[in-house]
Amino acid sequence: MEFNELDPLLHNQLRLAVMSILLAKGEAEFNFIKEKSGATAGNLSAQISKLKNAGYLEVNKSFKNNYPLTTCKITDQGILAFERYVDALQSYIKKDN
Amino acid sequence: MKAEKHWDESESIQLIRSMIEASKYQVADEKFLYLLWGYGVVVAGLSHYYLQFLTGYEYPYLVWLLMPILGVIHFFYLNKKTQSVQSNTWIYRVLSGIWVGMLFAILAVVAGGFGIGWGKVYPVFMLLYGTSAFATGTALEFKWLMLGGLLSIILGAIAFFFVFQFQLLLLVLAVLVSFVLPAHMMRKN
Repeated sequence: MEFNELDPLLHNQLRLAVMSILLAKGEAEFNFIKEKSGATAGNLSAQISKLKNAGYLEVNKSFKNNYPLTTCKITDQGILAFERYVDALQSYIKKDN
Repeated sequence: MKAEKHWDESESIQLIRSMIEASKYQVADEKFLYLLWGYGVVVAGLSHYYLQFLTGYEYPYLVWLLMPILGVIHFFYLNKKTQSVQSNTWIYRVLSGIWVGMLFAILAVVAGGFGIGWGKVYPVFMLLYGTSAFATGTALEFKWLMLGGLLSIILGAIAFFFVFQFQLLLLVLAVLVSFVLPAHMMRKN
């Protein structure tokens, strides 16, 4: 069994939560991710920036009913990274067994 | 989210699972709309029946003016809800496609009803309700909507062989099984 290295960018509670939500939803508003992950706005914002810089998600800022609206969308690169991360997790778990 | 701590693989799997679960579309979120339209059509259908066949009122079909009112309530409810909703997912797009498509088809059948007579179009309403409910139930793997939709389609087929008086009662029954009953069976996970 090949033993893959876990992507350090995804091997973090909040970043992994963000990516899991986006994998399930495709696209989600900042407040939705905040509510589901239970993170603070500041911490979430910082982690989203890291994921964005890695090309794992896209951030779109717009307005809805005169209120600022931030939406995040997972990219193809993000989906690929997530799949690799899960593969690596499986290899760890199988190795432990 | 708690502060970073020792973090292992099984916790990662658990987190992925819980986040995906929390993000899932829940049919129970739409319970209000199923009840609104379900009971709305039941009330309008029974009122129509009562006014036309038990009292002989001249304009019984006026009760269907309740539908545009429900449409307005639906619009405001959805508009308010969308402000707090949060995502644009594949399943939302699929369900929007089904129900908006059904709305256009209903309006087309209503237009046709003026031309060929109402006795010929009520079964088509039942087929449309049934198809939409069945498609939604299949997409969401919610058996009550699938079953209700299928029953509504069967009732629609039967209704072609009855006169308008009984078609009205069959329509009420179709809506009870395809909207009202599934709505009452919807539970939050």
